[in-house]
Amino acid sequence: MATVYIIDDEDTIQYLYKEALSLEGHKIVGSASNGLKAIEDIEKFRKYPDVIIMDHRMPIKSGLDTLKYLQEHKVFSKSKILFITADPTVREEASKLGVSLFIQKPFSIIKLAKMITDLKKK
Amino acid sequence: MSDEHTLSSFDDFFDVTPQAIIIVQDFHNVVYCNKTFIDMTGYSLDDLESLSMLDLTHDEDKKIIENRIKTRKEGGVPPNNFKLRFINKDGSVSLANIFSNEITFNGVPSRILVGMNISAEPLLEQSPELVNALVDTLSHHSEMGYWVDDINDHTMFINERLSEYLGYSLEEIKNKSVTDFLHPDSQEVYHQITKNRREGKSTASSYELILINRNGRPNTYRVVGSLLYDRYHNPIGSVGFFTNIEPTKKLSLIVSTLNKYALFSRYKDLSTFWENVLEDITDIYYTECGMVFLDGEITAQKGEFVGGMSPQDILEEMTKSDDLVKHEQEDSSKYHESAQSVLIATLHLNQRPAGFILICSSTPKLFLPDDVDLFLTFCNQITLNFEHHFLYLQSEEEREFVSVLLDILSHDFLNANTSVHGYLELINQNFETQDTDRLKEYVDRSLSVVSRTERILQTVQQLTRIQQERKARRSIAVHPLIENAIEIQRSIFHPRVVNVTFDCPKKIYVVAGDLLQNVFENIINNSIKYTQADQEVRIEITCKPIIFNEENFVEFKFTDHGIGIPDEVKPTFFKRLSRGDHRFQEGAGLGLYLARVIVSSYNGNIMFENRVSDDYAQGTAVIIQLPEGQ
Repeated sequence: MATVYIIDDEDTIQYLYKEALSLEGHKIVGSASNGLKAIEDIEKFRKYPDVIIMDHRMPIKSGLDTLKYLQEHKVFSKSKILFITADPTVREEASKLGVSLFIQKPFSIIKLAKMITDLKKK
Repeated sequence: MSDEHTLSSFDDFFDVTPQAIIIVQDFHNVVYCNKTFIDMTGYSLDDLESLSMLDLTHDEDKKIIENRIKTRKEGGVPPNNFKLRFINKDGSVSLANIFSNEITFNGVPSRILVGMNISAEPLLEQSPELVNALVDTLSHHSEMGYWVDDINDHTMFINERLSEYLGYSLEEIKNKSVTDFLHPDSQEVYHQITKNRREGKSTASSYELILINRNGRPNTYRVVGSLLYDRYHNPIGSVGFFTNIEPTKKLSLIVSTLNKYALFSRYKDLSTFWENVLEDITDIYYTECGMVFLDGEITAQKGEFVGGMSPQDILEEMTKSDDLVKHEQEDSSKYHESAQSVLIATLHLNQRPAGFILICSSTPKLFLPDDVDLFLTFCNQITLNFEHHFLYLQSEEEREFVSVLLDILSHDFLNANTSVHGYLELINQNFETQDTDRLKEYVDRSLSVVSRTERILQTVQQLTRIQQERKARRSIAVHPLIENAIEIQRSIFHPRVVNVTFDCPKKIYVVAGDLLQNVFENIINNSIKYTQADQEVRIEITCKPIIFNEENFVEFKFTDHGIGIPDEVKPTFFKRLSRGDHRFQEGAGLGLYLARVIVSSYNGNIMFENRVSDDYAQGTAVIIQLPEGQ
């Protein structure tokens, strides 16, 4: 079981992650609709999740911008980041910014839930 | 009174006289010379100390000196006037007409030789035919005009060419000055150059002057001029050589104007483009009036057109006669009541006659045959520039359109696909649990995503309509559009109470298309949706005429009392990527991004501000500016 924080601007996708991950036994510790909200949220509660699922294309603070912030401020360094996007061109930059797993849309939600289990074990 | 004293008394005079003076003793020793002699021959006083009269004399004329000495030695008296060629220091020759007299200088019998430099005379004397031919060529056959006037600015002479250019005979021009013919633009240049010359300051070797001929037609000349002096260096008049550069000048101005409009991304507003073009071409041709008529509209006009044919009739006449260009001098008043010279060239768009440029003037015979050809070339080329510009703008719009479509396909549809695929996986996984509530939730969520993709498809359809509407803008009455938009949004949010204050004149028009109502609906929709549910919806709509980029616009302001737009969202408010924000995602089918695209396609502006300047949470004002219609 892993503790997971979800950052995605679409409510239906957030709900989908929560349902699929719960089935696999993971615990959702929080969610945010953009990177800025997520940083405020996690810094406030000082709870670092095992895994952060992060979408790239979001308003206010995109996935890559959020990753840059995390790297510059050396926060959540213990959390593993699962980066999800439809855009394959950002893979290299995301890897340099400390992403543990890069997933390109479309993908299987059931497989994603299993991948998180594997990611926590690593 | 000693002779030494006598010479000193005249020293100053000797140095300023235009005659060369030398004093010779012992037949050929030079013991004095004045400054004029030094200037003529180039020798210094030191040089002359070691040179005899014979040394200074041309070989072929040495005999003259020798004979005069011989005559004198034999007790004779040689003639006191003779011509002699001097060898100058630089090897050139000066011919002098000399008067010789006996004097006593420093107590010694001497001869004073007073000479006038007449080097040019032999040419005049020996070859009068050559001089006549030169004068004849300049007067009658040269393309160059010339003008001589006296110190009082009375014309003494103009040659045939200049007389022809100006349309006056020498007799008619005699009591006039060159300044009587100067175009106002050339007055300052001419007076400055004349003043500099008289003050002995250096001036440009040549300069441009615009002279106006008998009919009032201006012509540009390149002028090389000089003051004329008498033998005592007093100015007595001036001479100017005039080369007609009007055709070259026009060509150069036409080329630079075409270059100016070859890359004119700054002329987004096409009416401004034609106004600029008309201003330039009427300046180049010195015309007071002009018109650009294109696609059934007068897109630019200079001067009032009254009492003439309608633009449509002019175009039909041009098309009927199959004339590319028309030069009208006899029957000009049918185009403009005071016109005496008219030039019209047809503008072809997509190979069809779509309009014309007309320039006219009250000056008769203003246009020469060269002007007509050049005008036609200009009109053809400027139309090509216009077409290129239009195609460029169109391709830019289409590029943006394709980019938005690709973005929607690669992001919105992929996201929708990911969601539906995920929910179907979950349904499959939970199928046997018979947890119907959960299964229903998954189905509802899937349906909601599918509905959203339908709205996205509608958005794509709207985008396609925007593309089509760009070509179908017209003058639209705004009042009913806003009233409709208010009513539609009220019905959508019924039974919620929506208080709208709408303060806008009924007869207000803008240049736009059918999608304008969707823009208004979208803004009102956002205002209602983002006013907290427990608060009353209040929207104030105002409109007022404004001037934007020197054009008449109408500004619409939609002010709400909703939750406002956070400062961090403001920079991306109307951008495509802002769509990710829920506020912009779940609108009436058209996001604020599309509102911007639509308003931009009408050459308008859309922006927003806080209702209360330093507190975004007090509500938002969306401002739309659109070109005023009629």
